[in-house]
Amino acid sequence: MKRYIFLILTLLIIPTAQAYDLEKDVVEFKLPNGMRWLLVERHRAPVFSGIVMIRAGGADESPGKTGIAHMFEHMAFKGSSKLGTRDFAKEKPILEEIERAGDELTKESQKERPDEQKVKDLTAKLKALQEEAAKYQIKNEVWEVMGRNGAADLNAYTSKDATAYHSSMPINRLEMWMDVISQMVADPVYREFYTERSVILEERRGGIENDPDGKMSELILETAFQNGPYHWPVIGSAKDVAGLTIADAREFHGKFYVAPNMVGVLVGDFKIGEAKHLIKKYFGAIPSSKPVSQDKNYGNEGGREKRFGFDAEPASAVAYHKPTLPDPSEFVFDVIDVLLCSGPTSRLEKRLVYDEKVAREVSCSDSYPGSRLNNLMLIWMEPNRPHGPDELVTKVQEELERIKKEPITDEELLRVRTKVTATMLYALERNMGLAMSLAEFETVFNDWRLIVKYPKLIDQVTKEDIMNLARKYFPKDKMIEIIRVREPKK
Amino acid sequence: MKKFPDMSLRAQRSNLMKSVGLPRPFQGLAMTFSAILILTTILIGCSPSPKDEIGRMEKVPMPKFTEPTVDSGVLPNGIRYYLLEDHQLPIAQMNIITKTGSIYEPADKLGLAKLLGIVLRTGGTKNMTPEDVDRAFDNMAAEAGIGLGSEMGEAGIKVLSKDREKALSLFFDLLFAPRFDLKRTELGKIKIIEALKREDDYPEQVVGREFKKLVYGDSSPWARRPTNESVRKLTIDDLKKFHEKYFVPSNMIVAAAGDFDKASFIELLKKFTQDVPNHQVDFPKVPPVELKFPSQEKRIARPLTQSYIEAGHLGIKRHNPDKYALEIMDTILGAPLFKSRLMEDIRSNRGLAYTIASDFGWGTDYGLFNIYVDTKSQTENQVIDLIRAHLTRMKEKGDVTEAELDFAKKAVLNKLIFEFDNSFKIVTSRARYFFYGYPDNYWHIYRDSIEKVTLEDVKRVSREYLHPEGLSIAIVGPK
Repeated sequence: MKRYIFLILTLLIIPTAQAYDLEKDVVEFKLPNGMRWLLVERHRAPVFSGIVMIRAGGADESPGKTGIAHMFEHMAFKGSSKLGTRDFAKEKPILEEIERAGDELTKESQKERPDEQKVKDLTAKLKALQEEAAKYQIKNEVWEVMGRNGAADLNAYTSKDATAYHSSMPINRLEMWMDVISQMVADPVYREFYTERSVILEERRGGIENDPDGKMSELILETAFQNGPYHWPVIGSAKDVAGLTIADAREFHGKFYVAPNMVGVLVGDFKIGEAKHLIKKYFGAIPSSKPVSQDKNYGNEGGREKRFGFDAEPASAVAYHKPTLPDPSEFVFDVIDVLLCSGPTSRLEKRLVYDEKVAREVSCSDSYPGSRLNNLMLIWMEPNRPHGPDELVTKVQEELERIKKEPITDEELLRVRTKVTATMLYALERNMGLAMSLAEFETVFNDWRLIVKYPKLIDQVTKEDIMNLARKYFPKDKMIEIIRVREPKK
Repeated sequence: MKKFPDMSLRAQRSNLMKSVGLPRPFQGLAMTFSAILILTTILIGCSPSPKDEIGRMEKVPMPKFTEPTVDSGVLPNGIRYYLLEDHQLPIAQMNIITKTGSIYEPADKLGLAKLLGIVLRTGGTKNMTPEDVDRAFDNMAAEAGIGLGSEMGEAGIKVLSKDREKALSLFFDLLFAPRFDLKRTELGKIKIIEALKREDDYPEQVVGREFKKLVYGDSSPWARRPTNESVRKLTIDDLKKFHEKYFVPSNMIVAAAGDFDKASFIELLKKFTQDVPNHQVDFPKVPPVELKFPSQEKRIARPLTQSYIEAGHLGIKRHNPDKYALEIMDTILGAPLFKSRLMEDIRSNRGLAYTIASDFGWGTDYGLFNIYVDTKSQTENQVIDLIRAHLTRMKEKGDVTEAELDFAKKAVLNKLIFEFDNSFKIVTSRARYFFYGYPDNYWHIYRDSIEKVTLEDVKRVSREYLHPEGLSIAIVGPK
């Protein structure tokens, strides 16, 4: 766990700083349907930040339907049976026809040799139907209502682990936030699905096809994870996305957007009682069916290498497979992450960037690409010319060997502890930072209190733990290596 | 188990999180002084909504709110300060603004300002080696940064409040007693040259750079870029001269907030700055931007599956009183909310782009008005035609509706309260007002001026300031 731009924490154990007791500030509230809420009053300004997070992400997709979690997230912004429509009773039958035509068109287009006339006819039919439906629709009404009422950072994101919808608003719009966000997650209407599919394909072109880092991260996943849902990126494969249908989105929503899978967090200038009342009113009716997701770890082999060409400067990545929580080694990995990659005195940054000047950037992530399943310790580097990407990999290897052989110094251990506590404290400052972190811990680990315990757990990590872990998880022959070299495109 | 994605890691930026909105290149623009500004009261929704429920909720009034009082003053040496105590968390933050930057670089020393920022931060102090400074900051978990932009230098530090005296002492030494370490200077040059090279790998950055050059001209201080050659030739002596000229107390503004006592903080400021040599800075004359609107296009051929397009022309100067009406016009046209004409037409209706947004900017000289979009190569021409058509419509048709005006004003005004949700934000805004020549109560002026914008104003400024016939268009994409 390292430089969380937004992350969290509390319970200062730095001796002279006064402690901030987060545990005391958080009020837990569970609805009868199983949805969990965490509420923190903060009265600095008449605003609040709110987030609803669903334990549904890329990890819940199956091959052939990759990208559906993210596709659904886009659809949530298209409104509900109340938002985004002038007359839902009249709009609904047209939407049903659109779905049938869109289905047929998708099926035909996905064929190896599509019938061109049929594709053309169906496209025209779909277009006509969409124009018909548009008569009853109010474009982007979710954005309009929220925007008009002062929503700041209204957005959503999908990761491999979860999907989140969030916004900060002036405090007099708390009920509006409840109303709009609850409709988005509980009553989605699949408007403009096929246009949005094109938008996402556009997003994919920008984020992966034309972006050297996007391409590289896709290849890291593909190479490291031969099995299971960490094999593909959140946005999904182009082929799968092009074949997604409304039925897929509806099925995904029905399965995973159930109350026991959902966590809400509010931080701001409200009274707990008032917030609870509104939560009951707006989120109480979400179905409480049991979540179906059963996380399961797949066998994935290390010791693989992938080199690829891209019309861009070179880069390299080194990765090792590692377990996730509840395996206690997680905290040791967190220490190693800071030790290697946080600040100009951290081992890799000091050696590669400052002393030897061979890299312009080194960064680490010790839970790539997510935390629900066993994941990767990943080190990402960009060489300075004339040094090459392979040279960096060799040097990282040497540093990992050093960790296996020599205990880290007392100064390093103390520095790591100070940094972990301080960076978390820095992140607490913003309402949204706190809200997101509480939501992430509760959604992914089912335990927001882990935040409170975290500095202590880091303090318990010993020099021996670090050496033992490095020996166990970083054997040379298990290294995964991804190298990007410049290859001009024609 | 990092539970909030680390956006500093490229891999995560690109692939781990996928969002529905906030186009990447435009996220930062909220900070161009327009949106940064503020408000105390909030408009109460008064337009009838088609939905009774929503309409009812829009009538809930804002509770009474008193702005926190910022302490400000000027030290005998000319340093201006804005301070706010906030004891919620045991941390302290400070930002120092210096009037300096790349527009003041001599034409044969491009890159000097950027290099100075890096060397001040990483090059040690008279008393400490760079390595010792790194260790001192890292051991305190202090986050410190120094950077010089085109007309403003910023030096910021965030630290646990118990360490503030130690950290400030060291931080002021970086600014006033730098070591200009030779090795770190060489490293700084490598960093800049490598970054220049890598910029070419990201089409959205290339298009931004080329658009600026197209509008201002290659050699304009507002658009020119350092080259490998110009950076290699820079000397420590160049750095020293530039530093000596601008980094003096009379040319600096301090903004600080957090867990400290104001009186003792002022004492610290005095202690760390009173013996620093001082003078009034004589700023070099920056050639003015010539106001013209040529129709021109520049294409950078790249074998991509998308075209990255930036289109626009010169904007206005910062103190132009029409800026408020233009801000509303821009919100209606394409500001990065989904409810804009460009977003609705080009993304929502036609699925032609993931990112499309406009920004009507102002600056010390003429700012930039630009529209950014990326689209698959096959639809490049279609998208450019649509942009031109929207601009022409805005300029000539005068068909902005009351509903559009109402939405735009509320969207701008109702968000202003967020200027007060963070103490450090409050003091840095105040420091910026002063830097840009606004009065202390500028946010009131801003709010009142936005409230007063009428439909006629929007139509008039659209006619006067939009030039669809004089567009500069930069494109990165397949030939």
